[in-house]
Amino acid sequence: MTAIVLSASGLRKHYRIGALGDHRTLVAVDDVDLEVRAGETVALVGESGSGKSTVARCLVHLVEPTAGEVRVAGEPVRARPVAALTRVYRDVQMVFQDPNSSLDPRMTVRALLAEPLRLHLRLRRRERDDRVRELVEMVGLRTDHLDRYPHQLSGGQRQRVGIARALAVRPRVVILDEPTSSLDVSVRGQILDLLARVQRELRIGYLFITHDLAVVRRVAHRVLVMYLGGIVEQGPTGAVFARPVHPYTRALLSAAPVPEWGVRRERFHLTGEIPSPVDLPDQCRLVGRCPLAVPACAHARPPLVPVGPGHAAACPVETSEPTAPPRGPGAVRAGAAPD
Amino acid sequence: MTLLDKQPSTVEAAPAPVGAGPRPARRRGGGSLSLRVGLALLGLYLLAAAASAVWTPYDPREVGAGEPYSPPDGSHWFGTDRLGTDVFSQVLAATRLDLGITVAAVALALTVGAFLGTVAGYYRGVADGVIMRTLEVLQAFPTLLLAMLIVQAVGPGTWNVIAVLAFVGLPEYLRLARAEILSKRGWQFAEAARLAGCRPWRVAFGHLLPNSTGPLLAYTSINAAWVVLVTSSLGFLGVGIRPGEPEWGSMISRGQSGITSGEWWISLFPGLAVLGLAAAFYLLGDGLNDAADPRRRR
Repeated sequence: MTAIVLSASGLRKHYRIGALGDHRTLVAVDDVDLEVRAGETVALVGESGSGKSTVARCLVHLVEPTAGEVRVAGEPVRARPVAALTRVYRDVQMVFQDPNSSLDPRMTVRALLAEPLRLHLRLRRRERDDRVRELVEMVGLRTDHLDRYPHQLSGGQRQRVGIARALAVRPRVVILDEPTSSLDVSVRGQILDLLARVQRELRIGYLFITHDLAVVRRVAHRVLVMYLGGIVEQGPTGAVFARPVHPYTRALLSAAPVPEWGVRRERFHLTGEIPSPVDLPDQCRLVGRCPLAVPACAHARPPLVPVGPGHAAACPVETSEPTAPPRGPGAVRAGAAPD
Repeated sequence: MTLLDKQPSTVEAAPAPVGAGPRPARRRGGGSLSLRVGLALLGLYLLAAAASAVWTPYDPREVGAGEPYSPPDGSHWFGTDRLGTDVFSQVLAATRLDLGITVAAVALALTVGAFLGTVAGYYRGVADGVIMRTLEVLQAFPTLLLAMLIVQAVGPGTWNVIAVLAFVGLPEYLRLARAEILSKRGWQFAEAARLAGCRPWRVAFGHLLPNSTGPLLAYTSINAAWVVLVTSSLGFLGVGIRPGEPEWGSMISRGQSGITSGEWWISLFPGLAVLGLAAAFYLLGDGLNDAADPRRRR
């Protein structure tokens, strides 16, 4: 089995809000476990506000997690000493959502790409120049882009610079925080192809954070579904798309359009809105919105229970009857696994 | 206009100045009118300062270079004062002192203010608390009064004046830098810089501060104008600058009795020099905001 390059266990992030005796707790990330192996793409999906980006930032300690342990290439990540944390960034890198704001506007492409080579790898100028050229080629830019500033590039080109920058130090795992959501659809495909090609060449693990289910189906080997800070279902992409178990996953999948003619499926609706993550009681996060809820759902937070090979869901209703017929949202043809 | 009166015709056709503050190169259409006028004025002052180092018509300290109280004429363009010293030579020589004090004080305040502001804004916590509370105490005093008090305490001398003016001007730089850094420390490029291997101090001083220079640089010229005025105020009040140094403020002070008795030129010309330099800096500040930002360059 291939090596685990990124793992988290019991990851939590709480924010204390309110003031002067009115302290409340906002739970952004609630007990998340995850694993990414070398050469694997794990998708983390969920709607806005579900805590996906906070997970990403906790994993690299840009945000200090309240609890839990993160390991990169087997080594635990700690915030201090600062030098040690900085060294961890040789193995784990991140591509940010918005390439407009994640590149220093005063640096040329050359300087942006040379910076990690200089600071992480301590390469000499000549080696740096060579590597920068290599990188630029790898991500499909031209060498005459090297002396441009970010504002002189298109959105897609900027994201290529962001990717090149993340790959510059040959990390083992890259966290991609919605890397394509700010791009045109036409550019999106190119960037996804680029990421797939690089992964094949370098056997990098990807944690791909997105809310775009079409992207998930295309790139991910495994998928984690996040709702209100917690993971409600996880499994191989094919299995989750073919037979989503958790009501939230079913609702999420049934809300996405099916790109095939004549395929119809039942819609699975939740009622209401995603609730506020402040002072959540210990119960299923979906309890007020779920058509299947039973009184037990309100008593304790359901754990992830295996429902298939590598497939688990946190729903006591759906997982307590192992004889229940599969009831996916009908799109049986969905979910051809990538690769 | 006043300055052109003041300058000999040889420097009138001076080209755009070099090395005047942040370089104004590569701006669309050569910049706004106020920027160009400000730069031209400042250029004249720089030329005058440079010229006075090697040449003035008379020795600016020479007593009896002409008849006492002779009005402006061909041999003494700005006339002479009570002791017959050439006013034009004094005004020229004072340019070097006043401009030198201004540049040094502004540079010092900018450097120290930007440094402390970055520390306060990026690291926050205790450092921020200590720096900001100290600042608030300082800012409770009127600045001119504070400057005078400190100069009195540390004693006269050009370097003391520079240090005091920098100290008094520092809070505004500190606030500006802190506010900029504070607003940018959560930006993604700051986080990306951490991932790229920058230690926190490098994120703060290598990425955030260079992206915060716009307001700081724009303020330097406002601050410079203020320093010009305070320097000459101190000179006028006889605080700080050693007596006898050619300095605009002290020249105004020495000539003020002449204003009522008809010898207007002794005070007027140094006064105009102060006015012109302060105006040059204000105009420059007006146009500077755009110049420092590469996103607005072509």
